[in-house]
Parts: sequence; C-alpha cells; structure tokens
Amino acid sequence: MSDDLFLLERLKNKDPAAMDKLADIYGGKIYNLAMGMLKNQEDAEDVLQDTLLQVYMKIDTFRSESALSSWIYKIALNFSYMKIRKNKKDNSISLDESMPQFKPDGMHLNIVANWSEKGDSAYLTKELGIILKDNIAKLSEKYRTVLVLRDVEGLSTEEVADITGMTVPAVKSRLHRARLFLREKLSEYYNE
Amino acid sequence: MRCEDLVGLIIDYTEGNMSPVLRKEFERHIGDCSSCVAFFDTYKKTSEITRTICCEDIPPDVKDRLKLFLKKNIR
Repeated sequence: MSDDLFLLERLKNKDPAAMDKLADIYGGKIYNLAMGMLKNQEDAEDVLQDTLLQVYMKIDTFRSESALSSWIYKIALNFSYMKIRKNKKDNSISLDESMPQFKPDGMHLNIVANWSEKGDSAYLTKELGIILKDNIAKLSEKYRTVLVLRDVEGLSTEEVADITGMTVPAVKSRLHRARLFLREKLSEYYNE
Repeated sequence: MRCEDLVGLIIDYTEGNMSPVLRKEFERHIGDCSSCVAFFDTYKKTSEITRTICCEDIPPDVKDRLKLFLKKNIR
C-alpha cells in the first residue's frame, strides 16, 4: 500500500495521529503554494490551517480518481483564491508588453544578452528575490497558478492540468507566457 | 526555423514533447544563433531561479501554531 493510501485509510478512520502525518507530508507544500499565490505570511498561514482542516473534515468525499496530492492542492488553491478575492488587491498587469520582440523576418529585434551564469544560486541576492516575488505577484491569477504549481512546487505539467482542470496545451501556453514575462524582468535586472 | 518560432517552441523542447524532425530543426537553429542560445539559457535559468528563490520553508512559529490549531480543532 502506498504512503498516500495508508494515510487516506487512517484519515478516513479519523485517526488524529494521521493529521500530524498529513501536516508533515503536505504542510510545506501547502504553505509554499500559498506563499507563491499570496506573498503574505499571515494569509499563507490561514490557507495552511484551513486546508488541513478541510482535508480532515471532507476526507470521506475524496474520490480516488485523482491523486490525494492533487485534491489537497485544489483545496489549497481554492482557499488562496478566496483570500485574493477578499483582499481585492488585483495588481495584475498585461503580459503583452514584456513579450520578446522580433523583426519582421522573425529574427530577434535586439541582441539577447546571456546572463544565465550570473543567475547561478551562489549569486542570488535578496534584492533579486524581492524583484522576482513582486513580479510573480503581478501575474494574473491564471498565470500565477500554473507558474507556482509548475516552477515553485515542481509538479509536472500533467499534474498541473489535473489540479486546475485545464488541458495540457493550455497549461503550457500560460506557463510559457509567465516564464517569458519573468525572464524579461530578470533580464532587466541583470542587464541594468 | 526563425528565432520567433524557436522562442515559441522552447517549452515543447524542454518538456520533451516535440517531433524528432522539429527537434532537429530546433537544434540546428540554436547551433547557429547566439541570440537564441542566450534566450534558451536564460529561459531555463528563469525557472531554476524561481524554484530556488520561491521555495519557502514553514517558519517554526507557523509550525507551532499549526500544531495548536489542529489540536484544538480536531482532537
């Protein structure tokens, strides 16, 4: 029996110790997701607590067609969306202006600088962290969701599609645009 | 293949779902275009940086409050 199935059985039997296990396994993932979505520790903490409680209360409604982790991510995302709507702080911007530009013949409009070596982990600064997180927060909900699930949580594109109910091509399209936007912002930082 | 086409296909290339013919064209173009090499490297680096910077551990005080919250609401 897999760890998730074993955990599921214990949760369905309302074994309180199973909650500790659930928090150990999924607490970090939920918190990470909520921080990526909300960029606010207090709100992320609320999402963490509400999600784990909801999982415990509603475990009997879980159907095994999808993975337990996907179901938990869906719950955490819903609580994150509720926070976003409650805070009514939609600072999202259009990505169009930050998309790469090309000449009519399809060549790059400008020479592209290669700053990839400057981005090695040893050189990552606090300032860069702030810039990156601020720009993730500027992504609209639909772009931020796929970026956080895929690039922060490290889920596969198929898992992201399962969690969001989107098709795989739609996930890839949004993810690509979100990455292009962030790449542009990092380019501005490194080339300044 | 043009630079614009390559940029649009990077995600398919990195996800490994590209036809062998297109993959060959992609690699041929990138072999000849320093701007596309730079674009490709920095695109991949953007994802790496995002993962490194945005991975948040639960702070100890949040963990402590979570334990109390679960104890209060579940047991």
